[in-house]
Amino acid sequence: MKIGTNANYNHTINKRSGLTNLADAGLFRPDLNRFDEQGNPTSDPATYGEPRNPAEGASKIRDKTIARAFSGNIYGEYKLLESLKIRTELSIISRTSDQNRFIPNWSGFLYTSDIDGYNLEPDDHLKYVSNSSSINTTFTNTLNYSKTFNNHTINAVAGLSWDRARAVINGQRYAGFPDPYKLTDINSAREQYVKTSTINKNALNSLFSRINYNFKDRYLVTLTGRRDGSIKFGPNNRYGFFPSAAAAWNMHNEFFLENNELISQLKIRASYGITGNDNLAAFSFHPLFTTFNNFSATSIYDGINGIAVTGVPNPSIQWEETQQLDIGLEFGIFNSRLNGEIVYYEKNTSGIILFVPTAGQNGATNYTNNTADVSNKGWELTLGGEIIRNNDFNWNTSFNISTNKNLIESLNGGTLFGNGGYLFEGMSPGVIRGFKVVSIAQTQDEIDALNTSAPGGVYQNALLAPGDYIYKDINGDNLINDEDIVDLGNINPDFFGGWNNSLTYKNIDLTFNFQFANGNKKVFGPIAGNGGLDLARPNQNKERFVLDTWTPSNPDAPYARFGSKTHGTSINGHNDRSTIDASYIRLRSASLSYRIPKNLLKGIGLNSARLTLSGNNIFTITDYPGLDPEGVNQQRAGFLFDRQYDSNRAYPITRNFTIAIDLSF
Amino acid sequence: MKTNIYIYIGLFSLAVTCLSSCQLIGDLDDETIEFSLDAETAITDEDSANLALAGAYAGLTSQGNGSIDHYAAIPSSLAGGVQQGIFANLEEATYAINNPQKTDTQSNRNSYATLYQVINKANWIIEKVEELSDADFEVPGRRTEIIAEAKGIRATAHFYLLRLWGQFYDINSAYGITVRTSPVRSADVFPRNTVAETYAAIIADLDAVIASAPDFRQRYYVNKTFGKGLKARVLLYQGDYAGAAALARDVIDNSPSNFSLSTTYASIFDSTSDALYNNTDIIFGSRIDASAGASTSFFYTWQFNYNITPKSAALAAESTTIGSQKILHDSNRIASQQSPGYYGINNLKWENNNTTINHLRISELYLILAEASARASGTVTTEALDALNSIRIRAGATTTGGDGFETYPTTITYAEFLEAVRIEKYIELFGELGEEWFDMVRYDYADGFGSGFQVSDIKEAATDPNKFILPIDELNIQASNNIVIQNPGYN
Repeated sequence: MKIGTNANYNHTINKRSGLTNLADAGLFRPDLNRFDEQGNPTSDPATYGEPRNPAEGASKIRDKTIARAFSGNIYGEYKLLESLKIRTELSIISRTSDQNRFIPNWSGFLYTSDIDGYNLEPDDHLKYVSNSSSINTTFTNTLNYSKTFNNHTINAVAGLSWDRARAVINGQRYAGFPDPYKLTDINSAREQYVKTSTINKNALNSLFSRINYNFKDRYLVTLTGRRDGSIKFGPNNRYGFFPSAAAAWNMHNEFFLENNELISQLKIRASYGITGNDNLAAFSFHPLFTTFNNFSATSIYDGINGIAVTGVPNPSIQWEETQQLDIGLEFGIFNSRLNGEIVYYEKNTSGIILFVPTAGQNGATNYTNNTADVSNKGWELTLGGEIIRNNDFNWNTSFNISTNKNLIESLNGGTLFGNGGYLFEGMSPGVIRGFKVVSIAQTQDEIDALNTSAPGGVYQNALLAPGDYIYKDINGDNLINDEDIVDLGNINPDFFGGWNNSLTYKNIDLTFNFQFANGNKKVFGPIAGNGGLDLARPNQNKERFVLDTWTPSNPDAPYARFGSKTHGTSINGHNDRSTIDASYIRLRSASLSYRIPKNLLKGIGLNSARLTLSGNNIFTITDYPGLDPEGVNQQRAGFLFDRQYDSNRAYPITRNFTIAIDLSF
Repeated sequence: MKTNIYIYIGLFSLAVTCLSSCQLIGDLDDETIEFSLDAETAITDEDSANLALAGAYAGLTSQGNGSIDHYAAIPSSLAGGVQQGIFANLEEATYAINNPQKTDTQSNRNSYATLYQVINKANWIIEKVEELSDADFEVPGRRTEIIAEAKGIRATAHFYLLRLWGQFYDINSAYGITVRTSPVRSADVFPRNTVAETYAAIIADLDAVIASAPDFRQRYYVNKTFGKGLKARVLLYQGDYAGAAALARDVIDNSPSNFSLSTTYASIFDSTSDALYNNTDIIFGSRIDASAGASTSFFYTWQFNYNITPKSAALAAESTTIGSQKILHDSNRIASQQSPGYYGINNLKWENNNTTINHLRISELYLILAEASARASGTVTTEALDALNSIRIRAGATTTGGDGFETYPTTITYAEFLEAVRIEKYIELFGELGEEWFDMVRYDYADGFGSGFQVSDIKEAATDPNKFILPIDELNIQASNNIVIQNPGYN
């Protein structure tokens, strides 16, 4: 009999200002000082408000989040027999988080619509309050069997578990504080104007087992199986069965290789398994009535807080299943001086759960569905070795390279909305689609000629004035439409990998690590539309690329005129001018250290001393014009194209250097 | 050791609390929906039916990207009445050049879904309230009233869908819209109905409104008069002029005292006080309260995204010469919307304060009567001319016989009269739900596309009749697995 427990408490305080990305500061007019002649902070009238300069504006926002997490578990274990144990375990994680964001009136701007919609005044100080609390419990009961007889080892587990999670997030907004420093409690507010609440629930009942078998460390077999029932799916689709099998053969332990001088390790392994995913909101399979009152829709009418259905229920939604096959060979030769691994993998996900377009006649534009079958196939190769091994000098190196081919195998009659249109079967989900640019129109006559020969009198909707891109008419019908959309590249690299090195010469250690990716493309925001080279925000500062746009006096510029609708936006299709190769080689980390010889330390009472100089992200070799070839916009749910787009406004990864001295006494 | 004991006690109490409060184990069926109601069982009595009805009414006010503000603005943009403002995107630019894009739309795709969402809300009410009995309702007759109100909402949404995405002008066309009459329980998709079937469904609902809706609750609720009035407009669209005239006449002559031309035009849009909601001109208008929070997006679309075009302003300042009399089209109905708002953008009728979205005003019924009565008899009838002039007189027209903002004289010819009605509707209803566009299309179709009056006379770019209606966004076609077919000319 054994009882154990474990408790953990975590308290985090996070303070921020309103400056969260480069856009907050970098887009403000650079020609304005922090204060004007009267000593007032400068601001610039924008289209829907008047933002202050970032130093006197967004940076004055005070945002504080306090998060508390308690986690604990308690278990009891009882030995029924020598080889059979019963174990029961309860784990609990309880989290709460409180966020307070205070926005002094001079620290940003109100959306004018807020003022109108919510009885707010332009000079109101605002406060956003958000708190969340969640509790997750897991109750697991297992029976463990473990036995070795002769050369056979068996390890088996069978169990039952219940997972429950419930999280509630509440948000409120307050306005009209008389003082921005002290009277900032919610009682000091004049108005309470926005309120939101969200609940996330999960319940999973599982039955599982696992058997490991090992014969003389030569043959290894693992079999698993689990049956999960999830509340996320309708009564008929709740349960999924997810088995797996893995086998490995340690050939180097066989009698015929046991004393082989060349081969020190040789292992063949293969595994196949199915996993399930229930990543969606609970009860989305069922039609629900709710109340809502948000920016675009309300259920309140004439002061009556009504109820209404939203969304499209999907009663047939079921487990997303991923079948994964791995075949690998591991080897070590010359007394493990050279070792390596070759792996082939195939991952087929069927019924991937995505928030995808649905026919609008059901009253919503999107719903959650088992949309597509997607496959990932590829090779992984790792080669390493001790190139030099002698008393004074050692060099260990390891190089790895991988490929991945990503494909939509089937859409099950559905649709995937990608960029510049849809994704079809046989395409990669990472493909960037759009138009090819033939040239930039130099004269109106050129445009008129194209329109004249076009069937409907319009060659290309956005081709409006000299300086616009002329797209390539791929199918030759004198008209630019969806049929002229082609693949412009893929966000996934053709190959990627890394190279690790560790060198030791006497008392000096050097390690360095390169990473690389090749063939990955990206839509580069500053030269695309949607806030780049279009006119959507005329008062915003632009990046240097605006100097390379077409003007009558710069007819050979690489990019279309500033303000053109042909730059493409995330919804209207990209073009090949803004789709840029983001291949790179990066020295991810390096470290150089010197161990002070022991004989020098004896006199001063030190056991060891080491001096280290290390750095991260030291340099990057790339043609990519943006801050970071790995930069990408955060993906919103259901927006596949977010992954393709780099607004160049996220904080790039930092380069840092560290000097350290390790002393031990 | 002592601390350990405390930890044990702490954990034990936590475990006990959890076991008792948060259901550590249990059957999945015992897990309950929270913060939402099961739609199948939510409507059980009069109170819950009224709540669901309020939710459906609120659906007609839903705004933001691609909701009512867009399905009102798009036709006006097609007609050249308004033009896009600073937030315009490529999609909106394509309406201005009458070559709407069928892919990657937001306004188009969202408006389409929003209208069907309104229909779905109504369908849940109709199905569930029909399952109840009169005994479940405290107010006698309220059960049938609620069903009729929901049908009025459903008919309105179907009609808006038909005239934007269906060949509404041609009763024999196969290109109607999908009529949905039962609640959405899955993503199953149904093919498009014909135009005749769509009209039949709309009229069946409107007949139910006429038979069973309340006489009058408030003008922001569906009432019998709205049923008659909207049916008059529907019959006008179908080309049943005698029927349209009869219903319009019925409303004007016999409607309850609640509905009559308001004394001034400006008062209908005066958002400074709640009197707006009681303006007698409004037969049914969705009520939007500024304090409700969600009333804000009109601001984005109508005020930021759309401006009055110079052409609309010019139309108001132009005159039609009847005989020797030069009759000015407008005094200040369009000009009154030109007051500069934020950053020099004009305010249109939909203010960001208290607002009504006027689904039907009695003024329109005068103009429906004018056109339908004339078309039904092929001449300018006295009632037709009187109806037209009533609207002009309310707008300040005089009858001196001289030039200027005058009533139209009896010497007006039939052709001049129809055009005068069209211009009057353009001006009177400008900036509301885009009626001027549908009138242009109807006028063009009435004497055959390509002959007589042509849409392109008014809007040069609108030469292709296929593009008088919008494409259904391709995502809808794709997602329906081609069960829903695209409008002709957009393939």
